[in-house]
Amino acid sequence: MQKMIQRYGKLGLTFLFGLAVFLFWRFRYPFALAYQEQLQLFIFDDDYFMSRMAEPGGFARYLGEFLTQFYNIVTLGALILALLFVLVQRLTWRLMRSENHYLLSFFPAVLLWYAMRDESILLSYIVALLLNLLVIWLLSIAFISPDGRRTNLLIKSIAMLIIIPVLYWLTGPLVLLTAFFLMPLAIIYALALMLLSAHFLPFPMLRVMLGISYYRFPEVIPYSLIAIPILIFIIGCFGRLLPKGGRQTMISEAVVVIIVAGLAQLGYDAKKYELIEYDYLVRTKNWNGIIAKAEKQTPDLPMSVSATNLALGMTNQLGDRAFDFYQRSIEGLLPKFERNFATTQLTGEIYYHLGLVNTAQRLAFEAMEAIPNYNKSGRVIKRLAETNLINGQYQVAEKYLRMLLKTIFYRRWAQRTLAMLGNEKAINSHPLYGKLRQFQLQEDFLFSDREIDKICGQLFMHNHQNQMAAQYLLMAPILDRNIPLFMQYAQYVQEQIHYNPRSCQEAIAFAFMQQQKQPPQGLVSQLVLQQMNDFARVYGSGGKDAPDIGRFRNTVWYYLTVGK
Amino acid sequence: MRKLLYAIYCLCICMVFSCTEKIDHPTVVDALPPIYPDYIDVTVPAEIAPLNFNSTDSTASCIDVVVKGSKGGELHVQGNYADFDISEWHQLTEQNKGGKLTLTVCMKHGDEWRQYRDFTISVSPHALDEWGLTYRRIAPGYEVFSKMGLYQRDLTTFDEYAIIENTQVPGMCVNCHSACQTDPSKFVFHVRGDHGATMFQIDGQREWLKASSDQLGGSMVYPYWHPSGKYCAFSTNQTRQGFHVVPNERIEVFDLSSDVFVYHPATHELIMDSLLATKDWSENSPVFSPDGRTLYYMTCRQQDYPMHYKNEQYNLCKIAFDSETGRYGERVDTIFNAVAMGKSLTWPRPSYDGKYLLFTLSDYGYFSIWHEESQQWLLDLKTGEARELKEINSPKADSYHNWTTNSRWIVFTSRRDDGLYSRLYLSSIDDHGRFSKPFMLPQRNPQEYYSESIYSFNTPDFTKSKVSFDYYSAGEEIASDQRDTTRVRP
Repeated sequence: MQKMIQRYGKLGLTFLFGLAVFLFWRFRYPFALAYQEQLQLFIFDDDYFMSRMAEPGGFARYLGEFLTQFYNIVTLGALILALLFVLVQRLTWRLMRSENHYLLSFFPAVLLWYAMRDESILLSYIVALLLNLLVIWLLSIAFISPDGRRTNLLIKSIAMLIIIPVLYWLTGPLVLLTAFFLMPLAIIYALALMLLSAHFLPFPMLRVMLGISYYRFPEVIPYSLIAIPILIFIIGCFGRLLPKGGRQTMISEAVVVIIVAGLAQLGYDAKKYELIEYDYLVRTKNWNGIIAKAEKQTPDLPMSVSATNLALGMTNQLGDRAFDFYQRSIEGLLPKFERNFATTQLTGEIYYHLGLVNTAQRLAFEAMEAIPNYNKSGRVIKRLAETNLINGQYQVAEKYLRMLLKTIFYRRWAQRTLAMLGNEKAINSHPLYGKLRQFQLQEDFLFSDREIDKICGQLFMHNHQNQMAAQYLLMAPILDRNIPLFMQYAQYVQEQIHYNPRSCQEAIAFAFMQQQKQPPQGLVSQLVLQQMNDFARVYGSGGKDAPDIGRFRNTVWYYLTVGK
Repeated sequence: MRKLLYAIYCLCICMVFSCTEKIDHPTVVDALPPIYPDYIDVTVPAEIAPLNFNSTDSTASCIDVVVKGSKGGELHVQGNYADFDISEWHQLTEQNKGGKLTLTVCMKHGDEWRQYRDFTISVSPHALDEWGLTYRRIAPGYEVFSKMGLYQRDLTTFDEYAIIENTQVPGMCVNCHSACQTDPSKFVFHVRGDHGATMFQIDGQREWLKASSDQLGGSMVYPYWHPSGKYCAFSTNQTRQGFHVVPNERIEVFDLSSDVFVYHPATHELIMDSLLATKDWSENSPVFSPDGRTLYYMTCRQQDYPMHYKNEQYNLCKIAFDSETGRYGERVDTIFNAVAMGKSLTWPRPSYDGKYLLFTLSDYGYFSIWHEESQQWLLDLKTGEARELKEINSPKADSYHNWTTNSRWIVFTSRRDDGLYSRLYLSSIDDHGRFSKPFMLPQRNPQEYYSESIYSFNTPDFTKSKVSFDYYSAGEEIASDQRDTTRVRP
């Protein structure tokens, strides 16, 4: 048993670590993987490869983006991450060149795990780190003979002259890690190369020095990404100098690793990842999944609230269940335009399902243009192909579809959709595209996000089958606390279709109560009237602070009188 | 770096995949070859880069092209696409200046070679007399922009160089560049974003003006140099965008107000005039006549926007300008009444020989690139007659344009290729004011380049020589926010 532990103990620990990383990404934050994937469009294409190779760190970026596309299959994505983390750990251990203190080699990988809570850290960083670790390890094998003799300085210098610029161009400024292990002169050489290259690259100096493709935002980089190579250097150089520890040392190291790994997980911002999950559910049109998630924990951020309202609308429940969840304002229906990918893309999804294809197209385009590292997005390109297809702009749609043909995961869809180009019959009979075509407005005006209700009104007037528009049309004035306007819209909608959900009845009852009148027979159910009377009694007894007011939390009355 | 890598890559691809076969007894097809871009019967300058083209027939596995000059010379290429050697091409075009090139195209379908009807390319006797083009490349987006920049292209080769890209300063956008009669020693462009500025580079000296001036009430927009290089005309616009909801429309651009003025770089003075800054009219897009004595610009009666955006219609006006004193004349003349035609005029560009004025006409507005109906027109400045340039227009948006200094060639943007992405086209004008069939800006592998490009080309202009611009230092200067101020001339 003792022999087994000695023989396979290290590998076992590494395996457990890899398993933990895999389980973490596969089951705790699977949506984060899909989020990463949608912020790039990896194309098998010489121009794409050349564009990446034209900048320092480009090869690491290319490999990173190549691997990121597999995040489309969450299990595969988690497996890739686990493998990369394990490689970081194993290569760190190799650098230590010591049979002791194996647990120390886990620290850089654990720190990386902690750093990855920041969704803007790109896989290119890990790939670049690994490539450098690999080179350092290979050099250490090459430069130290089995009998311990070191290679002479001349050979080392020649190797430095060749390896540093090549590795810099392939992996970016993380080449400094290799330079540190190689020789002091290599550090100066690497820095000089970086400074020199900045003069010939279309990037500011700071970005070149920090790495063009390590982090999604230019000119900044989290400190943790700087700390990781420093830690590797310290462990790699000095780990072997530590005295051989006993059982107690090993236990204390294990405890520290476990604590740090635990802290790494705690560092993840649950709110941020909740939004990422909502976005993923919207992307996959998992409306029931969104509602189920909202039922577990009420969403309270504009993005999650609007995703929930979209899901309710898509399942025709908005009028009945909107106030079962937190509502704050009309922005919960359609968030205001912001120059970032996440909210813009989500808002575009809402307009898309409303039938405002042009606005959906615009927001999709804006979302993609807002990606800070100038990447394109597979998700957006797909949406742009769809909107252009619906709009009958087949040549533009074809352009996007041909781009998707050069991908692994969008290829099949692109092939199917290409076959539809120009085929009016096929498009018109498509369950989604055909419906959206029918919903599309034919009379032109300029879009205004300050007149959402009017636009929904136009959509509904144009096509009474557009239930989303009807739901949003009636919900907008309620959320805007404009009951007289709601009454106008409600009258119109109810003249056209049979639509009188709970929130409408509550708003109608409220409007009549304000006028101290009874609503006409049949417009409001007896139950709602009874609840309204109860609410009026409770509210009359203590206003907003009435002790029993909380039980009306999921009503329009509560939202209008008590809600903030 | 990218070019070097690409060259190595192309060499490898050519060595591995190119087809070389002798064609015996091809099947003759009575049709013109299906090629992209459409270079059939176009007229080109002798200096232009090779007119490489692809087959649009996806079943064709190989293409074989023989080019024979009417004045001698022959070229033969075979491969995945017609890829001519640059020096051999130029040898042939120089030899056939004023003559014709006849192209015999064969395409391989399975084991069968098909020979299509021959077509010709005319080589103009008139030179370009320009080094290349400058343009902005940007995705045809709305308000947010990703990677974009100002670029220059050597017209004799396929080489493109960045003048400045927005990656240099994050969040920056560059637009509306102008050189003095294609001479880049006097160069101006705008920077928008947090580090906004108007950049003047005169004989290698750069200065950065404040993006927005209180006295002006806005920023400097749409520059055009006085032929002397001593002045630069601008408009200042309060521009807004609107977004259409119907399928075939996208963006509308309108100005809540706009005025025209001339900037004097030597004194940093803005020369304004009440005739060019009226309350009820929007003056816009000024250009100098080639003799520098007249300032052309467009005017539109101010409308209530966005409500009445369809009433935004511009006419072409002119006012005298004295470059000695920097004073304007006292009378404004309308020289083309587009509004009377129910149309709107935009982007006036006089030819440098003073004969013509090229402009774009659309139903309303002035941002013609977003108007599918926009067409190019030519005004004969001597007779005052204008005509639609049917020979170069297309059903899609044909828009922004500029002349070579010899007034023999124009470059313009058009969305005829796919309806959204603007491409550059060149065309020559003959002695009778008729244009030749335009040809798309050549690329080494045009189909791959244009189908994969996610950028539109806009605001193109010719450039006499390569623009010399230190983008690294410029980036630092932009980020420094050190700006010169301007003042209104009393």
